[in-house]
Amino acid sequence: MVIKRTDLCVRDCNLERVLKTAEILGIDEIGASAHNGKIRQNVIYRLNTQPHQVSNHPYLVVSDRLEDLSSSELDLFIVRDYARVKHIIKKRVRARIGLEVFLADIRTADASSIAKWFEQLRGLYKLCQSIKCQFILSSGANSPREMIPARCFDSLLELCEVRPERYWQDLEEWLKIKLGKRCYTDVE
Amino acid sequence: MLNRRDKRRYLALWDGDQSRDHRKIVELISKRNSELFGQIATEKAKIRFIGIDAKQIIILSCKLEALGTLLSTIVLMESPVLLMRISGTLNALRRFLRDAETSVLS
Repeated sequence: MVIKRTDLCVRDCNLERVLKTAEILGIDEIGASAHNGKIRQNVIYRLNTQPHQVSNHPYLVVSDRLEDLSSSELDLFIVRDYARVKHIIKKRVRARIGLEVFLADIRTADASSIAKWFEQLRGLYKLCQSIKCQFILSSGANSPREMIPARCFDSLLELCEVRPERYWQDLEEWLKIKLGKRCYTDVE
Repeated sequence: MLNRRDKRRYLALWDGDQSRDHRKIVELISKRNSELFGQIATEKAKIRFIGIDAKQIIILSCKLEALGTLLSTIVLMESPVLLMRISGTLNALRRFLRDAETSVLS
């Protein structure tokens, strides 16, 4: 069985460089904010709002604002401080949206904060399962050198007590549903 | 009783901070690993510096059973260190590095 691995948030604008690095690291697909008019394969674009016209690229509507949490447009909510927003998520979130956390947020923290963060991730994963949302771990990398290799993703997921194969399968399925619902024009 | 050797894995790393002494990377990784997983786990992992190749790729080795925790430590390093490849033998790793395109990382 072939597992497709996706890092849904890489913030570097140089997509060519990011895609080449992703290939080295065993990442099959990336999520990126940059668009610059040119559509690339294996990139899912992250937008703040739904485009007014039919688009020619796969995209997800992303927000980290709690006010947007119950919006019907929203595909992906970025969880910054789980302990603070846990109860709000439970109350307001719609099923089938993705709840995303960034490794970049914790990379420079001390060991005790990292340990707490992983404990929160375990809680978030359980919550996602109970409210039928998709748990998403992304690098949030600002440059290719901050990207996470596929094997390291698997180790991090194991630390969160998430089975890597299951995570990648669920993510692929979730993306298929989210992206498949939309109409696209042909890419030139 | 058979004297079995430990199974080891060889890791190719690209150091995001090109200005520092790459030989110190083992020290830094061991320190972070101790912070995250404890001193005993770090000692058991037997992290060893093997060398640096012509493309400034650092090669380390560690015990197979400690690979999972070491991979997590690598992505949780304060200054980024990129894992390029894991291999069971040094020869296979060096073969990969000979052909690897690393200019994109610089």
